[in-house]
Amino acid sequence: MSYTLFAVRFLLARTAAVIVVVWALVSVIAASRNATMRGTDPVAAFETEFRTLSHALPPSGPVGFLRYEADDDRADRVMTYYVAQYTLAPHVVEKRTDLEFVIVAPDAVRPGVDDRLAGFMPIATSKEGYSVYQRRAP
Amino acid sequence: MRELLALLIPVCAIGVFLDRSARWTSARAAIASLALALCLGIGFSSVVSTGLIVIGIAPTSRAFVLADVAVWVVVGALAWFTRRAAESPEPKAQSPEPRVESREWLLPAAFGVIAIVALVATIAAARAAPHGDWDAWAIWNLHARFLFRGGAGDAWRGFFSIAWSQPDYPLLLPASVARMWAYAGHESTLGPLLIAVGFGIACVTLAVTTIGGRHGWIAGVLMLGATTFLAQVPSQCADVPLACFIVATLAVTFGDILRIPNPESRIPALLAGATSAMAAWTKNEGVVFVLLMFLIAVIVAVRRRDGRQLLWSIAGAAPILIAVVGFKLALAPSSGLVEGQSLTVILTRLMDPDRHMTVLGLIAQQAMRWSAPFAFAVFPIVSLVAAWMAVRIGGVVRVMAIVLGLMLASYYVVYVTTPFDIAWHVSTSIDRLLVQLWPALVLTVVLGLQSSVPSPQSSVSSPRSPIPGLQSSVSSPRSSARRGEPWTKDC
Repeated sequence: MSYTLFAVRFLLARTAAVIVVVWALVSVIAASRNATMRGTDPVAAFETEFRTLSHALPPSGPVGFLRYEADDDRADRVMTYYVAQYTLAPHVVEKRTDLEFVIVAPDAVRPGVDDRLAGFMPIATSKEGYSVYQRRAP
Repeated sequence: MRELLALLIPVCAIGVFLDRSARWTSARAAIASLALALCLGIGFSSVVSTGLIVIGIAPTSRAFVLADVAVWVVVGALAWFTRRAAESPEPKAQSPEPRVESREWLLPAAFGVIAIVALVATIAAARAAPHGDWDAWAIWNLHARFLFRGGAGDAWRGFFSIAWSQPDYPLLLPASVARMWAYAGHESTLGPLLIAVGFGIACVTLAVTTIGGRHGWIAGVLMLGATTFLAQVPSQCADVPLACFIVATLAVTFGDILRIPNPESRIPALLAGATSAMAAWTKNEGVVFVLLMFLIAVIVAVRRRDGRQLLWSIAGAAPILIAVVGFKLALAPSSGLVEGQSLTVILTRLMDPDRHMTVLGLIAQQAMRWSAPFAFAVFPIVSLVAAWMAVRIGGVVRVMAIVLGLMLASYYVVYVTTPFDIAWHVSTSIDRLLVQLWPALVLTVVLGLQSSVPSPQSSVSSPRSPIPGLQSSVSSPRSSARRGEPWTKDC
């Protein structure tokens, strides 16, 4: 009787082990497939943009970032701001315009005349239109 | 590939120390020690790097690399010469190696295939996102860039003023990445990836080798099968490193990973102290873990009326805890979770049943989907098995389950008292928090399985604890009775 019990438990343990192995194999194959099919990383593209602007900035000090007029907390816009910070470190990029240098995203500028950029002049622009503005007048 | 050199230098130095301490008596012990040396090497080198930056040696300078190499050469040499002095003419104790049966190769082969596919998935994910996941570049690698680019002056402190980048997070990962870049001479995406993959491999290896035999392979397979865990490895976030330090602490404290013949040896306590403190140096959640492990060490010391192991644990933890406390008190701002929160507000939130219901609902929902679509409720099921084993088997399995349960409870309390939107906070972090506990949970369950299987062909000895207070308590009442041993309830 005890031998039968042992045999049943042994068989159950083997079956459980096989199930775990098959499940794990299917999972890692699926994970591998998903990873190979993943799209390109937007961070790398944004970084290339902001990297072209870094030469226009001084070696240290805070840098401004022009807020988006609407939906400033939208995920893609938050990402743009965060990648600007990631690329331009050790500058601290702050969402304000009372600094000498301000990073401006192309879709953040108000149509027509944007009074937030009064007294600023663009000094560098990336391929996709991201710019560094420098204060020229008080 | 200078990044690889940066990784290997401290690993070799600590490997020599572990060889001296544990005297590798089997391939399993040697591999476990290497995995331990890998995570400890990254951890200790981050403390050294932080120290160098704080005293004004920039990672971009040659002096930084020279100083770092000098530190590790000295550590390695000290360990080597101590080894010579400590060697005795007595033959090394032979550890009982698992008996190899016919078809015993099937499980290792299956694990090997799964591990290779998992590595392919990791590399593919890293190629798709070379800067890591959102939190990796917005927090960890951003801090690393501040340390690397601003290390010449005080500019590296700039990230303390960026509230959204979690400036209170400890520096193990950023300092390690900055150190890699210092060796490479530029900011490569290979550096953080090597660290991430290194921790992932160490995590799985520690569980597999601690358990040993076919149960070890099952643990490795189960761990890698959870796709959320696997996805976190190349993410370059701190959750897998934290998981690695948690599992390393439990393995060293409760397993027989180092196979030290002398049960009174100070080495496991020293290493457990160091790995648990590294958890606190990795991420804030690690502070809870180090406090829990300290509490366990105190309880064991009181029960045994012998505080020597406790003192060795404290000695192992002290250098890293000094760095953690120094960072928290002198450098970092307060955490966003507690800043501006009064005790009254926290208590009010804790007393609010709606908040509890919301958090419970969200956690249950997310936990059921963890590692979906190929796993449904894998984390809750394995947790239930761990709880059942804690009750049925007791001993170290019970202690490990209690530690993990208390960690989960602490996460729950943080969610209930969070100043942020609960739904956002839970949904954006619970997956990673479960990843932190997953390897330790697997270790707990499989150790329990190993000790409860009544197979006469069992190829593995029941797990013993290097802490004598926990020594015999892992056995189940039935298996102990079968061997004619008393079932102790030390834990």
